[in-house]
Amino acid sequence: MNLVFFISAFLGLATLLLLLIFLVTTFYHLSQYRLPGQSLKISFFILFAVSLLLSVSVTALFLLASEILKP
Amino acid sequence: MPLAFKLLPEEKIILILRRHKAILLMRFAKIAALALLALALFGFLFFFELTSGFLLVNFSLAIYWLLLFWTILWCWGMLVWADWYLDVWIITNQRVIDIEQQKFFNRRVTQCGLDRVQNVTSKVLGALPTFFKYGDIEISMDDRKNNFIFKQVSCPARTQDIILRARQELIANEQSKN
Repeated sequence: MNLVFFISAFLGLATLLLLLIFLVTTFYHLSQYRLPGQSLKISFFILFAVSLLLSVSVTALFLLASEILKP
Repeated sequence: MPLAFKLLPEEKIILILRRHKAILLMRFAKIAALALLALALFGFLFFFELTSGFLLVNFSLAIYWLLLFWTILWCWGMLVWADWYLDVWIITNQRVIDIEQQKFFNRRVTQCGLDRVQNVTSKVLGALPTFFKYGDIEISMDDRKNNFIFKQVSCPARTQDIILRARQELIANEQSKN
């Protein structure tokens, strides 16, 4: 079971890192390559909000599964 | 804030084109299908108690894996959206600009004066492009080396007319100045 938790934690961290890289890169592109007359799109904030929600849920579920959060 | 490109004096944007939204929806549909498939598989395994050991013992971990898979799909979705959003073709009253984002870290910007346009071809090939009214536009330049291809844009015939009309207006303006 320890190996399963280790693999799960590793995969989780790798995924969250990937998500962070994608978010930062998207933000960079949207701010850097804006078209004339267009502001920073609200779409990015939607991307950010859902990503944050997913990250928190993933972390919480892992902590719950690994019994850290259990009383 | 920086811009993707700067407008020249007296330059006006006529048209900003991206791939047709149906293309984006079709790409999202694949991702959504995978997400639903994972949920169905999870439900199937859980409902029929096929994994008598692991899934039932640690339900939280099983949901964690499902959510992790969805997070990876979400990353893929972001990549698809960014690729769609950042691929732009712009027609101004003076030039044609082709901005192409290849995945996240490669970007290519090509631009050319409208007066150098020789030939504009629009193509609608296949059932889906005919149904959703999208297609490719190929712009041949006078040097025959740097051709522009606007991929899967909506209403290619109308866009073709707009490019040709803008070119004629530019040439007429230049002739009247001379």
